[in-house]
Amino acid sequence: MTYSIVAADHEKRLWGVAVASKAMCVGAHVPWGDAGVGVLATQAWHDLRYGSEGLELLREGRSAASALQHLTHGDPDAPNRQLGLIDAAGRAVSYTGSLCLPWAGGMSGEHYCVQGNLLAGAQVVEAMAETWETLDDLPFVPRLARALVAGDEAGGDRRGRQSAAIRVWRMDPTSRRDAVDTVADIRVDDAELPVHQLARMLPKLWLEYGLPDEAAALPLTGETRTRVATTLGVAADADVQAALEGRANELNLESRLLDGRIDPTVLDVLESGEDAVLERAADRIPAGFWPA
Amino acid sequence: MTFSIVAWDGDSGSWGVAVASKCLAVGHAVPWGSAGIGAVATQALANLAYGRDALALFGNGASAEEAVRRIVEADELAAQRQVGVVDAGGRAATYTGPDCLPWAGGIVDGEVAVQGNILAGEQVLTAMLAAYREATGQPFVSRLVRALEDGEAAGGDRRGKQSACVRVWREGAAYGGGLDVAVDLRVDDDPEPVAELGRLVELHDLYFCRPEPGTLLDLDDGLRQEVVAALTALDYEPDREGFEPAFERWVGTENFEERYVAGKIDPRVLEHLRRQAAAVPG
Repeated sequence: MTYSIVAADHEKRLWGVAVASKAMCVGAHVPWGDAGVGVLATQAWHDLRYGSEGLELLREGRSAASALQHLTHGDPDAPNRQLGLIDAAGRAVSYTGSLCLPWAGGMSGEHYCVQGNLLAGAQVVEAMAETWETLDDLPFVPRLARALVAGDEAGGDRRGRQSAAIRVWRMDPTSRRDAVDTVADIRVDDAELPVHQLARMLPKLWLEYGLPDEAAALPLTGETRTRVATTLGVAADADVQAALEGRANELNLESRLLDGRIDPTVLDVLESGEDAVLERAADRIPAGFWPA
Repeated sequence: MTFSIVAWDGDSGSWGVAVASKCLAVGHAVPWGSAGIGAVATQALANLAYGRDALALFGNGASAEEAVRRIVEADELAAQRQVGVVDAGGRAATYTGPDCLPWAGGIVDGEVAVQGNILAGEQVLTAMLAAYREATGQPFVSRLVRALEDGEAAGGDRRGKQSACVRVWREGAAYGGGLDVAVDLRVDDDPEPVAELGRLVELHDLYFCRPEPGTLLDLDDGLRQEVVAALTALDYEPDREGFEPAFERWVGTENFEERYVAGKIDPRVLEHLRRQAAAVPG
């Protein structure tokens, strides 16, 4: 019915789930997580309470293995359930109940686990694991997406395709009052090629929700100021910053705004247009995708 | 950037939010809610703490107006925010900061708040309210989406269309019964997000609701022959494995368990089967 990868990037402090299924809106049910706590995927004959209770157990300080044992112990339906989880320390466990429909199974590695049921075969989770391990130079979100694509291409859910989702949390809670700890949350609820559709959203996700590249940001002075003013249609001695903020709001680029400087990607969008920037990002999502 | 409706439905004891925007994945940020507590849409320069904080205030008994006043007072960027809420008792309130990009505003009408910014004009909001009221008697989720449809038809987000979402909370409503999320549907990136959301609402009903007993069709000889032919076209083997086992297997594959009644077929399931068989090449 479903296959998923649950993974953590210790260095960037990002924890996430990527999942696909021949069932509608899998993203509304399977992925759960919280900053400072951990993440999990509950699937097969899933029980949404495994999500909230699983997080509660991790919040109490239990390890992934202990939380899993606690959830399945005393649950008469445990043989029908499947679960992958990673605690805040990065320890991953994967569980497949003995009655999950074949092919069903999972495996865990360092800071990740993959699992699925009603799959074309073991090659689905193997392809996901191999892709995840191999692509360790990719930013976290595209790396999750690539693992999911590998599972899809290895046969995926043997009943077909319908929905897919990626959710990613920062593991160190943000100090910003106005933000939440979900750094990526995209879904395809019903489509013929949900995994590929999801992967196609990544450049937009990067552009609209990504953070500015602080190291490469250009001061809004001199030639840069003239270029920005020209694209905005204002005089260089006008309030360029205010005009820039207005345009950034319209372009959904407000998360990339800086005071007195401009993110090179924002300048690129102003000068080349959104489509051109997205097309370039489609080949390779630039590094610095949600820096920790 | 966004237009939304936040409402309480006394008939079903539900709280809901529907929202559409020219941005990617509007559903991940704007709608917040909890059964018995309230619902929130936080938008414009969206402050996601508004969702959390308003629900916490409702949980402590705050009214819609009081909660909005308190979260706005505590936020130094409030001039750029927009928020609509309904509280535990179904009272609504809406707030639009003076620096929200035009056209921006909100309307409260009883247990409903509609609000939006970067809109074609106020007519978007009046159209939403009118659609919601006209759809009285329909399921709550359908009324919310009807409001989005008419808001969009009235001009919607003046920058264009990209994503939409509807969420409904009701006590014990979730699949399996443990949680309160009755509906959670999203269209994150689509040229016609509101129409697509309407299609998802239909589909959600098809998968998760029981059939109307009076509409079930008897699988008499003629209908049964048609179903056998369709299943065979879809690579099932009713002649070899038996009719009921093959049909049940298809029902399981397509997630129509809720609509399965032995010896009968739900006309909506039949329609799905017909469409699927007709799409088989050759």
